[in-house]
Amino acid sequence: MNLWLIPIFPLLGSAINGVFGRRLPKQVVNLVAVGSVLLSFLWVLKTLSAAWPLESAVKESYFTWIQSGNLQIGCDLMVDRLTAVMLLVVTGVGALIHIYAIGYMAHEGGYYRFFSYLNLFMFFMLVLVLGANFLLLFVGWEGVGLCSYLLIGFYFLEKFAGDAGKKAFIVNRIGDFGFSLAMFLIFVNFGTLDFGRVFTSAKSMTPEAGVGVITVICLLLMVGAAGKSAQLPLYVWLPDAMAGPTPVSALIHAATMVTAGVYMVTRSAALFHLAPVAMNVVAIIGLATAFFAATIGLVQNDIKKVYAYSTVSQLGYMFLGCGAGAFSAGIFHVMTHAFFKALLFLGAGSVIHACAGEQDLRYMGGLRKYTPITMITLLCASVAIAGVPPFSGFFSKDEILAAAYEHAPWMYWVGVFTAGMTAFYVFRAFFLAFAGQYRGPNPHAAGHGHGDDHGHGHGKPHESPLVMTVPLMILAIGSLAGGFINIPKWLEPMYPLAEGPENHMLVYISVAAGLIGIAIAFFLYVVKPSLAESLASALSGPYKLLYNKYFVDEVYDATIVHPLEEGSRTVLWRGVDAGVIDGTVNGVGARARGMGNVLRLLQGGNIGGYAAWVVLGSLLVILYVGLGVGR
Amino acid sequence: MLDARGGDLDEPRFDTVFRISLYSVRGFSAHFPALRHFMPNSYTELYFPVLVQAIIAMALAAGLIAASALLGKRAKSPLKDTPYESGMVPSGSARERFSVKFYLVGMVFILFDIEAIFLYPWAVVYRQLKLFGFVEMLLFIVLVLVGFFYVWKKGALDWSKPESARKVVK
Amino acid sequence: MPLANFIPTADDYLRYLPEIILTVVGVVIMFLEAVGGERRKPALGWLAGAGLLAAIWGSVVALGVGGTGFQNMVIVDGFATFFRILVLVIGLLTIVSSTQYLDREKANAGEFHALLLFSIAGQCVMASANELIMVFIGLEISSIASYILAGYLRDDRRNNESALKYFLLGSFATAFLLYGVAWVYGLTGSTNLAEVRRVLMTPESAPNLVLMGTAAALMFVGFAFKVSAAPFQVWAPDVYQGAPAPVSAFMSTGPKAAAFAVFLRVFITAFGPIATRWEPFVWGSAIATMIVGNFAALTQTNIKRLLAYSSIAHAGYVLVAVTAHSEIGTAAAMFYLAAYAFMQIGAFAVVTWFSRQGEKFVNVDDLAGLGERQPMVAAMLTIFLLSLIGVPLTGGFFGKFYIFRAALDSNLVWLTVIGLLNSAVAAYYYLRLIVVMYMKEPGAATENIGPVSAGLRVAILGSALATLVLGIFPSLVLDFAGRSAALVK
Repeated sequence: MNLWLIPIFPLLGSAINGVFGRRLPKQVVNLVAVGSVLLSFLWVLKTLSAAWPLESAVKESYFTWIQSGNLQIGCDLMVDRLTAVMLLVVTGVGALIHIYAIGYMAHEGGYYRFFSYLNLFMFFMLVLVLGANFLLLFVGWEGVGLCSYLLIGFYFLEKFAGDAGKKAFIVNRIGDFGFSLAMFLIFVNFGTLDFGRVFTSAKSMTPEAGVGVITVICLLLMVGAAGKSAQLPLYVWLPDAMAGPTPVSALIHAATMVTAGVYMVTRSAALFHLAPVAMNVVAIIGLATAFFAATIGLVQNDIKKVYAYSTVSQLGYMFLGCGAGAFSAGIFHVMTHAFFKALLFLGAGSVIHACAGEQDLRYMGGLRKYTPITMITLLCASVAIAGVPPFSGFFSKDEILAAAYEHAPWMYWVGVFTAGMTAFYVFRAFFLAFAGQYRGPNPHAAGHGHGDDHGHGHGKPHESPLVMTVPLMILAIGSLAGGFINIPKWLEPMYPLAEGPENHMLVYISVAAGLIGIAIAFFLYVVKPSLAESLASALSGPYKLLYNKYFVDEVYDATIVHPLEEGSRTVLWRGVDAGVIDGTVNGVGARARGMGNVLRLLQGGNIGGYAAWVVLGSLLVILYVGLGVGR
Repeated sequence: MLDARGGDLDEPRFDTVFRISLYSVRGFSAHFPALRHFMPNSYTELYFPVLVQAIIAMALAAGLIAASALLGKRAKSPLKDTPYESGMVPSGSARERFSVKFYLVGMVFILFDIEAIFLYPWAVVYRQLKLFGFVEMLLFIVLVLVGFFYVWKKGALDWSKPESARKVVK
Repeated sequence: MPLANFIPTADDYLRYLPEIILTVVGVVIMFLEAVGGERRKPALGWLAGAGLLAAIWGSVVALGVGGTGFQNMVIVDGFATFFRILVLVIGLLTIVSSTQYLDREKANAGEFHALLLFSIAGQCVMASANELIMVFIGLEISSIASYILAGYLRDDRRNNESALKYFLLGSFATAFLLYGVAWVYGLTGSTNLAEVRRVLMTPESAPNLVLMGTAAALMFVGFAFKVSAAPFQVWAPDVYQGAPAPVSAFMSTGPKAAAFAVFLRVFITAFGPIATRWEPFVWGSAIATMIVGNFAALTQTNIKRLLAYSSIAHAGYVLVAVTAHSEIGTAAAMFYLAAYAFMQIGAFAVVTWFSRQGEKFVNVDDLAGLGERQPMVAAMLTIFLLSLIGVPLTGGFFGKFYIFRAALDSNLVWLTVIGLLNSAVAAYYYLRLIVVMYMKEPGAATENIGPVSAGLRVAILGSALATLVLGIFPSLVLDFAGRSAALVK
C-alpha cells in the first residue's frame, strides 16, 4: 500500500522549499508546501479506502533499521483504526492550516523557511503516528519537538520568541528522558520495541509477574506524555509557545503535536490496562491539569494565551478519559478538539491579523462589524468547546465525563465544574473581541510588544482574505458536525466500550454547566461590562494569583532554574570545567602539539626527500617480510 | 610441481628460464644421487647464487672505483673538466633552452607512434579475429583520431602560432 | 587457447557498461571541447553529470548480469558494484561542487570534465579488476588523469607543484606495485587473483612463501601510496593543499576508495592464504598512519592541509579494517569509505566556496564568525566535522563503530585502543574549526562573503544529507556491504 508515501510527500516539500525556496516565487513555494500535504492527505484517503474497513492492522516493513546484538528494529509503518483517525486529523487539519498560513504569512520574512519547517513537522508527525515500534514513534516524537522549537523561535530576532523556543525544548527534554527510560525498560523486559510483539506479550503476562515493572514503565511513559502534551507539572512551555506564528499555534500546539502524548498513551493501552495505579495517576494528572489551566484561562487578556490555557485544559480532559479507561473517548476528544481548537487559533489569528498584530483582548471589541466571517466561525468553535449539544465538543466531552463518573464520581464533578469554566472563558474572549465597541487605537500604532509582529499599517480592522477564511469555514463545519463521527464505535474493536446503562442525568448536568458558563460570560461582558472590572478589583487577591498563573514560572525559576544556573556557573564551569577538564585537556593538547611539530619536520616539501621516504618505507616493509620476521 | 626431486614440471605456468634451470638441475642430480639433498627446492634457494653473484659484481665494481680513486693520480685542469664533444671545442652551455613547442610536438609524436604499434599484432591475427577484430580496431582508430583532432584543434600542431594564442586551458 | 576464445560475449560488454559509458562520454566531451565555442562550455558539465548518472544505471545493469567476464579479467560482484557506484557518486558531487570554482577561476573547460570521467573510469576498472594487470591498468588510468587534474590551473604555481609532486612520487610508487605484480607472476605463474590464491594454498608453494610475502610487500607499497598510508603518505599534504579544492576533494575520496577496493580484493583474495605474513606490516602501517595523520593535523593552520592530514588519518582507520581481514572488516571498510567520502567532499565543498578567487582564504582563522554570517553553511560544515570526529547520528560514527568492532572480532585489541585514542586526538583539531566558526568575531574573510552557488549548494546539502542518513540509517548501506563483503567465494 506504500504507506511510506504518506510521510515522504511533506519531507520532499520541506526539502524543496528548504533548498530552493529562497529563489522560488511565492506561488511555487505555496504550491509545494500545500500540494505536498494535500497529496499526503489524498494518499491517506486512498490507503484507507483500499484497506476498508481496516479490521486488522496493516503493517509494512521496509528494512532493518538497527541491528545490533539481539536488538533488531525495523523501519516498519503500520495503519490500524487508531492510526487512521490520527492520520486523517493530521493531514486534513494540517492541509487546512497550510492553506490558511499562505494568507497569514503573506507579509512575513523567511516565508519559504516557515513552510519548509511546517512541512518537516508534518513529516515527523506522520512518522510518529505511522511508526510500528516505539523507537520510530520516538523519532517522530523528537522530530516534532525539533520543528516545534524551530517554529516557536521563528521570530528569532525577538528575545521572547527565542526564550520561548528554548523553554519548550528544555521542558520537553525532561519528558523525553522519561520516555527514553520507558523504552529501555520495555526493551529489557520484552526484548523488542515492536508494538505488536510488546502488547501481545504484555497481554499474556500474569498480573503478579509484571505489574510492578509495568507500572514503572507506564509512569515513565506518562512523564513523556506530560512533557509533550503539556500536563502538570510540565505544562509551562505551551502558553509561551504562542510566541510562534499563529498557524503554528493552531497546527502544532493545538491540533496535532500536543496530542501526541494522548496518542502514545492510547497506543500503549495494553500496558496501562495492566497497571491500575498508573491509570489512576494519568486520570488525576489529567483532571488537575484541566482544572488548573481552566482557572488560569479565566482571566488572561492575551487572546492566544486564553486559547493556550484552554488547550492545556482540554488536553487534561483527554488524559482524564484515558486514565478512566475510556481511551477511545480520549481519541474522540483529540479529533473534535483538533477541529475546534485549530479553528479557535486560526480565528484568533484572523482577529490579530484584522487588528494589525494586536493580541490584547482589552484593545479589541466590536469586531463583529469588521470581521463577520471570523466572528461566525469563532462562534461555531466556541459553542463546540463549550459542550453545547449537538456540536462536536459535547459528544466527546460527554464520553469522557461519563467514563470519569464510572471511575470515580468526584472526578466527574470537578470535570463538570471545569467544563463550566471552559464555557465561560471561551465566551469571555469571544464577547471581548466581537461585542461592544472597538477599543483599539485608530489608526493603530505599534504592535503589542511580543508575539506576532503583524504591523503592516492598516487603518481599520478588516476581514481576512479568502485564503484564510475558507479554511475557517471548513473547520467550522467540522466543529459543528464532527461529533456525529462516532469514533468510540469505530475504535471499539481495539478499545471495548464500557457496558452499562446511560445515565442521562450526567449529560444534563454537564450541558447545564456549559450553558451557565456562557450565560455568566454574556452577563459580565455584554450586559454589564463594568461589573467584570469591579469583580476583578473586589477579588484582587485570587485575581492576581490567577492572572500570574499561580506564579508557577516564578516558582520554577526560583527553585530549579536559578539554582541550576548558579550551580553550573560556580561548580561546573569555574570548578570542574575550567579547573579539571580544561587543565587536563590543555596539558594533553600541549603534548600532542609538541608531537605534531616534530612530525612537521618530516614534511620539508622537497620532493627528493619524499622519494627517500618512499624508498625507506619500502625497504622497511620488504626487509621485514624478507627476513621472515612475519613467519 | 616445484619439486626438484622428480616432481611433475610440465605445468605450463612456469616460465621458461625457471623450467630450464630446474631441468638441468634434475638432469645433473640424476647422475649424482648423493647431491639431491643439496639441490634447491624453492625459488629462494634457486636464486641464491644469483644474489651471491650480484653482490660480488657490485662489490667488484665498487672496489675498482674505490681503488682507482685511492691509488690513481689526479691531474686537474680546466680543459679536463670541459664536456666531451667528439673532440670539438664546446661552443656555449649544453643546457640550452628549447622552445616548449618542441616538447609538445615530441610528446604528441611519441603518443601516436606508440598507438600505431598496436596495429602490428592486430594485423598478425586479423584473419582469426574476423569482423570482431576489425570493429575493435576501428574503434581504436576512432579514439586515436578524436585525440588527434583534439590536439589539432587546440593548436598543438601549429608551430607558428604564438604561445599566448593557444588555449589548452584558458 | 584458440584465439576465437578471446572474442567477448555480449554479456561481457554489459558487465563493462559503466566503464564503456564513461569512456564514450569522456571522449565526446573532449571532442565537443575542441569544436564547441565558449558558449557551450557549461553544457559539458551537464553532459558529464548525465554520463555519470548513466554509468550508475550501467553499474546496476552490470550487477544484474554479474559474474566474471573477459576471460576472468573482470569480476562484477556486489563489492565491485558498491565501489563503482561510490566513485560515480563521488564524481557527481565533484562536478556539482566544481561549477562555481571553474567559473570563478575562469577555467571552465571540457578537459576538466573529460579528465574527471577518465579518472573515474579508471577507478571503476580497479573496482571490478580480477587480475593484477587490470589492477595496474585501472590504477594508471585513474592516476594519470588525476595527475593532470591536480595541476589543472596550469598558470598557478601551487597547482604545478602539486601536480609534479603527485606525478613523480605516484609513478615511483606505481613502479613498486608493478614490480610486485612481476614477482607474483614469477612465483605463481598467474596474475589472476583466484589462481594466485589457489597456487598459494598448494603445499608446494610453502617454501616460497617468504618471497611471496615480499611480493605482497611490494604491492603494498604501491597501494599504500595511493591510499596515503604511512610511511608513504608524505606526498598527500602538499598535493591536496596545492591542487584546486574540488580536485583535492575528489583525489582524497575517489582514487582512495578505489585503491582500497583493489587493496582489499588483492590482499584478501590473492594473498589471503599468507595473511599472517602481511598482517603485521599492515598493522604497523595502520598505527603509523593514524598517528601521523592525527598528530600532524593538530598544528595545521591551513584548512586544506588540515583536511589532507585528516584524510591520512582516515586512511589509517580503514587500514584497521583491512588488518582485520574478515568479512565484517571488509564490510566496515566499505561503509567507512562511503561515509568518509561524503563528509570529506562536503567539507571541501565548503572550503571551495569559502576560499574565494585564487583560494585566498584557506586559513583556519579565516573561518571566524562564519556561524554568524552564514549560519546555514556553518551548520553544514559542523555536520561534516562532527562526522569526521565520529559523533553519533553521523555516518562517521557508525563507520568507526563498525571498524573497531571488526578489529575487536579479529582480536586486534591494541589496534582498537590506539585507534580510539587517535579519534580522541582528532576531535581536538576538528572542534577547533567549530570553535573558530562560532565563537570568534567575524573577520575580513567572513565579511562580504558571497552566496553559495546552486551547484555547491546541491553538493553541500547532498553530502550533509548522506552523512546524516548514513548516521541514522546505517543499515541502508551496511546491509548491502555486508552481503557483498564475501570476496573469497
